[in-house]
Amino acid sequence: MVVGLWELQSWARQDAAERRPFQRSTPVDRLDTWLRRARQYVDLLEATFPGTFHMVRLLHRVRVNFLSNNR
Amino acid sequence: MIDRKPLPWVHNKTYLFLGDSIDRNTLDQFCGFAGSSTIDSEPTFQIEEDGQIVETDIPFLKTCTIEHYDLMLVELHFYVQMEEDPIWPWTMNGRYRRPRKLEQRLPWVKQIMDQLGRKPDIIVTGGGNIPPSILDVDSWL
Repeated sequence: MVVGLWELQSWARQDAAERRPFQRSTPVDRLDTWLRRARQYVDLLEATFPGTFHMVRLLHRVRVNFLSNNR
Repeated sequence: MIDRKPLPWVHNKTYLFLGDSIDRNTLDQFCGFAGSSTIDSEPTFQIEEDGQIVETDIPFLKTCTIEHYDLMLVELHFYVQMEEDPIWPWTMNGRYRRPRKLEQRLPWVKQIMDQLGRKPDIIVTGGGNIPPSILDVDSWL
């Protein structure tokens, strides 16, 4: 399983909405939550399609400012 | 004329992409390069949700078959975004696409594969838009 940053966006949006301070790292409890949910998803997929090879591709959102001079 | 070399690792295989627009566009282009084309359809099934019988409404089933190899590629736009989003139409008429819950969505995917007469050999979950809440099986909303 490859983990990108995209799936953390909801928490980032929550933090922004609640005007929480910027965080440089992902809190352990959030990582634990993500891993627990990922395990649930894989378990459900395995139960639905037993024995099937499974890959997860997660990409983070890339926002490009085309008007920016910073290239 | 495409030179069809033996590719035993793809022969008689089925790839299932539970994807997003990246998978959808890639599949379109790959099929074109491979000398085939994708077929779009909108399968619906009746499911029970919140005590009511309703129809599923996740559109965009895309299939591509490379006949020479009996290779089938299937892509379902998974509509996984759980939140209201001002930019992307993850929701329809102010509600989430059905089936809403993961426990219902995966059997729905299996129904589609059964209808296609194929069992996936490889499943790729594409998650360019998976927020944490998608994986919370108990609270899909």
